[in-house]
Amino acid sequence: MRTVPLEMTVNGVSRQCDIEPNVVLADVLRDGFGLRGCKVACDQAVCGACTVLIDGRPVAACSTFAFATRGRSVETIEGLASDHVLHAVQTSFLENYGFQCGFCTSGMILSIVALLRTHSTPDETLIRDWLGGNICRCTGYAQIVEAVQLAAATMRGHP
Amino acid sequence: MTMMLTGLRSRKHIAPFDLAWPTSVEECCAWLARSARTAVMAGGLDLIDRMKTGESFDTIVELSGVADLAAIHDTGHELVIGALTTHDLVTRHPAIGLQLPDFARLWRQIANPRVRYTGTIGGNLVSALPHYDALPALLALGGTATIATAASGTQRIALAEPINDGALLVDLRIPTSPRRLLADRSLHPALAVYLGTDISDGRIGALRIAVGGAYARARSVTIPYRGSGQSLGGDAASIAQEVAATLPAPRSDGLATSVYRRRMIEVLTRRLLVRLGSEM
Repeated sequence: MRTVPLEMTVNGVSRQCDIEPNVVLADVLRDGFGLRGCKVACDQAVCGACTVLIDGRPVAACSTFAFATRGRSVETIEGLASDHVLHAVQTSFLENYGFQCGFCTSGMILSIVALLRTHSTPDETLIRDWLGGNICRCTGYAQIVEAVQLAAATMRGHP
Repeated sequence: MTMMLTGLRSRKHIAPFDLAWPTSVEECCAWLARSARTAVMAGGLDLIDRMKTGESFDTIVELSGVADLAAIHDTGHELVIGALTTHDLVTRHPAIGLQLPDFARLWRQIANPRVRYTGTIGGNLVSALPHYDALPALLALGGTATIATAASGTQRIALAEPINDGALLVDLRIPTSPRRLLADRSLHPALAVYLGTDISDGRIGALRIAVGGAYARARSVTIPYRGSGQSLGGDAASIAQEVAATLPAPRSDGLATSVYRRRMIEVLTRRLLVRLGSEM
């Protein structure tokens, strides 16, 4: 097996490394770059804990070969806050008790960030469609949906 | 020494392989002809999942550089949808929305946005897991496929039979004459029923009913018909009975028994027929 060069942008920073083709993105992020906010739970692209954004779109990092991200921009939860100020979705999850154990939270927040970048006023049906790819076994989703609605209002400038 | 616990399915089980990045259909076919231990990768969701359970290949042919596989165009009598078209693009491509609005609308219910952004219509069709939606939807739409091999070039095939391992799925083709597509996925993944029909002069034509989830591979049946929406409402019960009786016995598994599935094929088919009749 020949290694392949990988060049991509991670949280706004250009990264280069050589990888083996059978390595998935989650392992490059976690073990290569120390970005442990990308969690791996089900390891079959179902639970959403490993969700990261590639070119702004949510992707299961446990089921994406790292080579497939060459030349692309990857965002993880570590890159979401700006100048030590949390993103509006992060703040809303904190203030509205949108998580308990927190294992699913980084993936869930990234999915919601992707949603709110494309839909500024999502209704509950749309929010639940987007959350369909992120499983939480603690909160029962009601507070998560509320946190998303409040984050959307904040991002529209109507807190 | 670091120890790692891995289950039966794990990314740690993915065996080493070499990569190929072709840029044309011909190059892909050449790679496939070279060895039976070569696999093509579109979105990769199913392929990676299979590899996590131990399936291995010498070479993975990554398809993203083959522009011809990602094209969508209208030939004037059929819509050609490239195999690499993502589910997300199916929901929002102008040509699909114009020619096959039912298809675009239904596809918004498939999986979740994360899967729709990555998964492709071609990958869904080739994998054709029992509960996958592409095959029954395309059977109900009356679609066909184009495949390519190094030995035979491109050829048009019906969708009822699986695509051979050595062949590359190039595109899907759906006639653009007026047609409807309805689905009842309320029992998915145990069962999903798709109903397609051609509309001519305001009248309903042959009824194509395709069933996913109930068989190892989706099955379909075509019932000759010519009538109005009103007459279809009256005929719905007898047609649904005929559909359930014509199809082979569904499988029994942990989700549902064969008897239950057969009964529900009849129920869901009747509901779809009544709905189609009322919408005409």
